[in-house]
Amino acid sequence: MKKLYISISLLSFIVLAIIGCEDYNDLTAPEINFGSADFNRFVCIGNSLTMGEQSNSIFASAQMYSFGNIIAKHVGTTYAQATISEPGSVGRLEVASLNPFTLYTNPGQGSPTNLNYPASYNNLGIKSAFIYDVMNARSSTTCYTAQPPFNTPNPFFDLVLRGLGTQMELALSQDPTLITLWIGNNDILAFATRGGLFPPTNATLFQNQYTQILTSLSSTGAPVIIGSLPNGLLTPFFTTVGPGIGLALQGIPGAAGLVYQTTGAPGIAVATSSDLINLSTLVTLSGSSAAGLLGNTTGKYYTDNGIPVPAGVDITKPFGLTPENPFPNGLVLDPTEIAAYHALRDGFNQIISGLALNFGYHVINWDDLFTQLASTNGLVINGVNFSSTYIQGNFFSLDGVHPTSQGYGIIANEFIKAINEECNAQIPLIDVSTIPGSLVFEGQVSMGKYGIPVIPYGSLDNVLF
Amino acid sequence: MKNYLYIILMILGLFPGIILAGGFQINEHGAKAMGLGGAFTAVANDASAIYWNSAGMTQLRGTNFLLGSALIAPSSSFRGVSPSVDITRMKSQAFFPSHLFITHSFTESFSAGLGLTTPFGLGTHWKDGWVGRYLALETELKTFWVPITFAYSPIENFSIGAGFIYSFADVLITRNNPQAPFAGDAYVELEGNDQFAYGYTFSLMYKPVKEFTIGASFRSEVEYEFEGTAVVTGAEQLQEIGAFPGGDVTAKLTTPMNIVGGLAYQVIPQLRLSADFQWIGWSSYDSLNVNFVDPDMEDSKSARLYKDTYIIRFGAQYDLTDQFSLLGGVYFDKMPVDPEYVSPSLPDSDRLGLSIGANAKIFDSFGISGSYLFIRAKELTVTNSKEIYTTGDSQFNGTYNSSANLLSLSLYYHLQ
Repeated sequence: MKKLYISISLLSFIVLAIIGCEDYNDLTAPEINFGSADFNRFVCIGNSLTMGEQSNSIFASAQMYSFGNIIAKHVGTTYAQATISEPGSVGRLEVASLNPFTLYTNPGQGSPTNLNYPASYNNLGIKSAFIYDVMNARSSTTCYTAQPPFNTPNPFFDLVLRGLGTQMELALSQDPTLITLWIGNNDILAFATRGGLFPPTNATLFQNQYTQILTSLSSTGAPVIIGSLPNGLLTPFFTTVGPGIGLALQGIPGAAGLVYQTTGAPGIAVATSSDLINLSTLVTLSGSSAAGLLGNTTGKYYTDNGIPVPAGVDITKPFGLTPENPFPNGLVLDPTEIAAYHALRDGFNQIISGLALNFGYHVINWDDLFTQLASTNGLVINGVNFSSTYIQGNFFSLDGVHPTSQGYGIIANEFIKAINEECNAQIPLIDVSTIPGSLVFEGQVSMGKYGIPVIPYGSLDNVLF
Repeated sequence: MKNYLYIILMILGLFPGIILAGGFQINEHGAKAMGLGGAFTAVANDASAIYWNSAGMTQLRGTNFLLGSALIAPSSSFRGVSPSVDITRMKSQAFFPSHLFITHSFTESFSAGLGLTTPFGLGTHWKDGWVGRYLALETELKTFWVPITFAYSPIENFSIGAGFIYSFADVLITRNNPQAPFAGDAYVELEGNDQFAYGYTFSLMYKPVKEFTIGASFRSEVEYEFEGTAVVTGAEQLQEIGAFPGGDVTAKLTTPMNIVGGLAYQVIPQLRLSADFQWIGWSSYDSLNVNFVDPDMEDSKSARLYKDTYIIRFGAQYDLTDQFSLLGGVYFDKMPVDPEYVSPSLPDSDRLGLSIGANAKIFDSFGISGSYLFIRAKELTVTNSKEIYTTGDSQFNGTYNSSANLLSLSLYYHLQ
């Protein structure tokens, strides 16, 4: 009897001990249906949007969230990029103060951290690349903007290409299995961000180059996901300052409106406060500081920027309110220029979709996304609110043009949707809310009056897609 | 701009509270009881009866001291957030809830006792930067009970007990808050102290026959009112516009009542089996509210929705000699919360406890007990979490695995 009790007790204890110690930690990674999508040699060709620019700078903590890198990490493939250490390429915008809202341009500069990567980068996006560059540019001095009349060599070509060839050559050399192509944005956007002063690429060159690009890519046999050209005029770069000036004008007795200079005839035009508020005339974010000088009679705009006062301008007259001292041309996109932009974009997008159809490639149309972002209610993704409102919208970074990390997450999802469709795959979308916020504060720092942000002079001069 | 209000709202919205979480009961009050898997309510034959069943004090003669400590080394891991299968392990920590009990029998039928023990506590510490950092980084709760108990035996084989509990507690909670759309995380630290709280106990013990004992014990809720400070450090620019809540706070926490019924049966002279059924009124922990003393700050409310639950305990004591006994125990502890409300500040789950121990009487008046308890929490996979861990409404779904190793040592001294 005694032995029986002991035996039973001991036995049950051992059994329970075994159950108790069972290791529950076996992992079963979720199965993803990749369909025919092969991410082994995933290559992205493009400009700053592909490179992962944020807040007017290329820096590692933003590049981590380039859409290509987000996708690669999501599907578990290797992905190399030409990264720059913090604070990144010169001129990073940071928030100096929230009330009033003031930006700060970080004068510091990081250095390349991945120059010795032994193969071509998967991310071949190059900030400020134009369509011409994909097939032709091999270095800073042979890129599109290095040519007359721009004469601005672009060092990012040396960083990404490292003298090994063109974007296309480096792409092909990797024998890519999946390609994204998002190029041509700068060919029209530069025109808009410079208030119509930068000549857009002509449609023949655009068609010619795009044909060459797709022809070359078709030799790989890999699927190509193409990004079309989004409507850049819906970005905060164009929608933030004008309405603020409109409000300001309502407070100035006798002001007819914003008197600005135009490129062609009539030379001087007037945008009423309602034109500015309803965005039928756009003032760029670069015009933010100038907006604060409305009515100034000391020529401060010109002295602050170090620009000689143009002939025929009388700085003793109220700035931006009189034909004698008009608001500068380069800061305003007037109705004629807006119409020109739309015509250009539509034309380029037709070229893209027409060619893509010929080659059987998938094109992502961004119009729904951008329109939704610009709508009153914005867009809710994974519980996070996004809109094209400057800063609060959370989609666009401090330069008003490039996305935030979360914004890139949304873009990555559009690419994943396209890949799923193209490759008959079921790759789950990225939970955008898990991507951290990315707008950077200056070490130690309010929108100014009328909701116009205070942006240092010249800090947005290099904003291109 | 009117606008930065949204940041403030966002951060407040994500101030889900001050997670004290449930299932934070500590049942290690004496090495012998622990060795018996806590099936001690009908046994209660040492000074720890002050906690387990004060009526049991009438079994003791003279003055008895019991002093000891447990070492608790918990470990938890979280796999996720699903579909990710990355594993985060909790930082390894050790806790030493200690106990001191003194009983004295004034007459054959009347005894009194005084003790110090820690019936509720919690300590979880996840590494910096881990995926659940917006829910929990470090959570620590310490409660101390000073029970003063009396036992009276009106008739032979029957005794009743009652007691008053003086209690105090302190709490520390740290975690991150996202600053999105801005980069980086803010850091939230909340510390609170409770100066005084009280509770009470009732108990009884009945021996209908010599071999068989019935015990029952009631331990009341204790309501703590913490007063403390919330400190949030984040980007200076956000601080300047007052985007972070902070300042003096008050919070209430009610620890659950316990009602325990136990049986003990002397099978043979050497072997005694015991069993307990412990009912725990966890529904006292239905929500956790933190109130800012500054009326401009929005108070934080968070549903915890704990439910009443139970523990079933079995224990066996086998006396090899008059001086030396072996102890063994097993218990099942049913989790008090639905999986969707499980928070990483307290990875709750059904738990199985397995214990062994020994009790040695070294001299007539002095003895020592030691025991080891292994706790295995059932793997818990949460698929519909109500815990939101980012600025979006992303659910903190994933799999928790927890276990703990406990050692306890008690010394007892008997003064005739």
